[in-house]
Amino acid sequence: MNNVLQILKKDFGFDQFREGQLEIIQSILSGRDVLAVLPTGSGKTLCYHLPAKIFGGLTVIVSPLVSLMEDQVTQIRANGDKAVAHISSLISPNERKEILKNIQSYHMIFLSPEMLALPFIKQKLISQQVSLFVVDEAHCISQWGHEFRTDYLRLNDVRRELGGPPCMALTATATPEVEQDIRRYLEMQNESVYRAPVNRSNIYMAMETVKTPREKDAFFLDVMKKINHPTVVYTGTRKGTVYYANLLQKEGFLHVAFYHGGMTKEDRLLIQQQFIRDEVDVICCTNAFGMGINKPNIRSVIHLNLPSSIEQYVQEIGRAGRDQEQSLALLINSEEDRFLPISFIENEFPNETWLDHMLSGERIDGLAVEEVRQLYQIDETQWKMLMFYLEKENVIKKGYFDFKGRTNTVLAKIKKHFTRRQNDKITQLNRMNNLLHSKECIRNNISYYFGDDVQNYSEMTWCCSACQEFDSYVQERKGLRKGEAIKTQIESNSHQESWRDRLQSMLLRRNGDKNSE
Amino acid sequence: MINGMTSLHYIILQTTYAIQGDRTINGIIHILRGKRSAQTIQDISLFQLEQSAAILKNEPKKYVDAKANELLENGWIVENSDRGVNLSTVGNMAREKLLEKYNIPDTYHGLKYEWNHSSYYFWEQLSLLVQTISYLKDKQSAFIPVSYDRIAQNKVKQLLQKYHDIDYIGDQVYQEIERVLSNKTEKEATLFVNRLTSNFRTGRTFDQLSSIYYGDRLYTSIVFRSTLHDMIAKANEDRKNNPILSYFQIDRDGTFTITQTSTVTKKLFEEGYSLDEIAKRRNLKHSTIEDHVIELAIHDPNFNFDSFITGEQLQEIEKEMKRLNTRKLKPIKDEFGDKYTYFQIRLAISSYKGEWSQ
Repeated sequence: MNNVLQILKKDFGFDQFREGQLEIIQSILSGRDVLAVLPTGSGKTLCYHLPAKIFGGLTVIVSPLVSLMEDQVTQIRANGDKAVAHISSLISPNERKEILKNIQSYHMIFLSPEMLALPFIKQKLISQQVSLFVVDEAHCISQWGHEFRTDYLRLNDVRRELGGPPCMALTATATPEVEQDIRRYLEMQNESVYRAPVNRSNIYMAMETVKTPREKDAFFLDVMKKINHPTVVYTGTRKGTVYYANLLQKEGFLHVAFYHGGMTKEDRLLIQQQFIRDEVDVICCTNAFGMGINKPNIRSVIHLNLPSSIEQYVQEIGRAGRDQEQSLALLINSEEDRFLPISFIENEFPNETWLDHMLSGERIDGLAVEEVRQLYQIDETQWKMLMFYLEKENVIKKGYFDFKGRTNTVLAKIKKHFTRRQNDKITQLNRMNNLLHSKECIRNNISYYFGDDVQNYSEMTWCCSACQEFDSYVQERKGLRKGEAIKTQIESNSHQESWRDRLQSMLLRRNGDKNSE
Repeated sequence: MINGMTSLHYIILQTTYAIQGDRTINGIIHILRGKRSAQTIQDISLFQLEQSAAILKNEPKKYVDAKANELLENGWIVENSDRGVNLSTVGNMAREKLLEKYNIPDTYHGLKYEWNHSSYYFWEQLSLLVQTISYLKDKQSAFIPVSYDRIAQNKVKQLLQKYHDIDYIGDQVYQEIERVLSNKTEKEATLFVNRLTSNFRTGRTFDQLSSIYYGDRLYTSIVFRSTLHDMIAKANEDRKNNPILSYFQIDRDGTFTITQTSTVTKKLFEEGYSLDEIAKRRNLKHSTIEDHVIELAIHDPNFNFDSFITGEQLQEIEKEMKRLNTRKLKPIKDEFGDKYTYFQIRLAISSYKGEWSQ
């Protein structure tokens, strides 16, 4: 215990553990497998980083979110631990070679599941002493989870080949069904389960329904003028991010930005940083925003769309109030909103008509993959998904389709698979819809859904819009507003400053000079 | 509609004007988005589109297609019987009106600095260096970098080790940047500096900076890149006075403009294999190998294609091209009948560097 605390102080600069951390670390140090359900931003990384230091040898961390992994590695390295690397599609084959060549100089390696499946990478890892096997975003192992990944099913084989080191599975969201899948597929032994309660008592949850999109916009603008910022506004579509950012700007909000996955990587990084550094206080975004963002003072999270599942909703509102201050989660729903997620689900999977056209008979047998892609002009994500399954069925040989007369079997299998996935997603969406339309306490419903102990929340001053009117929350909290237009200074100063002045303050400042701001 | 026209519309109009009906709208979009194919590479040289090659490489294909469609639907661009595209009279008037508003600065050179992403690599390293200097001057060594790229990070590290003295390197970078920016307009220089991230202010995105250029994000990025291109060119012309800017590694993707696959063909060809043998060895179609040869004929000054066509034959085809005033294969081939193959005519067209009468 003392030892662990000393390391925490010496290597990480913290005086005490956050909730759950010590429990998780002690279990893994005693050689048990651990399943931990922790919200993002609650210090997951430390739970394996610290044991990795104590164990010695190599800790392998599998994570499906490649860009998040990159963020994580960069942050760990920035904090001084350079013996950490990631192997993913984001690094070049040469860099990968370098890392593998010097593998013994690392104590933590982050990998995407695809990379872990490559034989030469696996062999390299087997040659090392792997002392801890971490599965991040472990819900991906379950068909019930919202992001099922087939590669995850093979993880336990890899773990065995690595000599069966203790396994730590981490996820931010897991219903009991998902939890069970994780334990089963990773063949956890004598495992200890830690589950942080989903309930976040400093977040008041409100769900308001309006009739038309026009009413929604008006309601949204009105609310934005009364609530505390910084605020994250989830809009559902890329177009929506731009639309609402413009709308707010026209209403006089100066520090608004939009963020979506279609922006260049550089722009996305800049906007993230502006938000984290309080240079921007409202961000209109798709759900591409938020992963790996660690900003403690987010006061409000607003949904202008219907999240695709309760898991997703809880995860997104959980970004508010990490500093434990009172915060708001508001979902504004208009009747028409329920169609958008449905059409998302439908568009996510390859359309049946062209699946039939493409795969029935021997139409594409013997053709080059690239040629077929040109011919059908399919959306890229759908094409990748389809290729994934076709490759798994072993009908692609050296860039050519080679069905060996199995086209119909393969077609039927793939169609069945897509239909099932689609139905799962619609079920998830319906559960979210039910949550929205229930007249009962939202907090209660959510706790029940995740299998947490349902407590009596009626004592809370601010629970949810079923317990206290949203209006009264806004009215009573209004007097306590602060932090709006946090760094107005920056923009106004920057208008007076010439480019030369600014460049000088970046590059010519002498030690002891004061910052210009 | 002219008020709602963006720089993206203008660029498509201007390129259509340059091509004069010889290519389809998709052919034009391939050039602008920098598609790496033998045909595109050939077209860039043929129609002298070196400046605008790959200018739209960061724009999603769907978005570019939608803008092109708007131009077609409004009748500014019209398709001819071969699906080639021309400007209509109104289209050309629009182009002339937008010419000044969306003028692409002279220092902008797409083929040199965008096609192979060299200006991107340059910016990654430069902006990371400036950010690092600014943080180190404040004695902060832990920060989230503007670039995660390993090569960029290594280059910056090397520079810091090489010069050691942070004040010295700050002075030097300042001088090198300032020298280029002082020859730019105030707007251009301000745009450039506002993109940089320091320890007290995060860089702005093109969208956030676009208000100085009609709210046009793309045009803002083009003006910015024209400054970058200028900086790279100046640094390479005068390495002595630009030790930092000329230190960055920007030719990361290997041979300039020539595709990897054509380079393989070249190697085999120079080892003495015939085109047929190369095709068989590489398991590629004969016509693909011919595409490679065409690409090499255009972009590799050392590539010797005498064995496919003699000097006199070249001249004869060129004469016919000029007489017919076309760059299209079919009419020229028809003129010669079986005397020359399509491949020979393509070689002649693509190696032709002379002037065209309009």
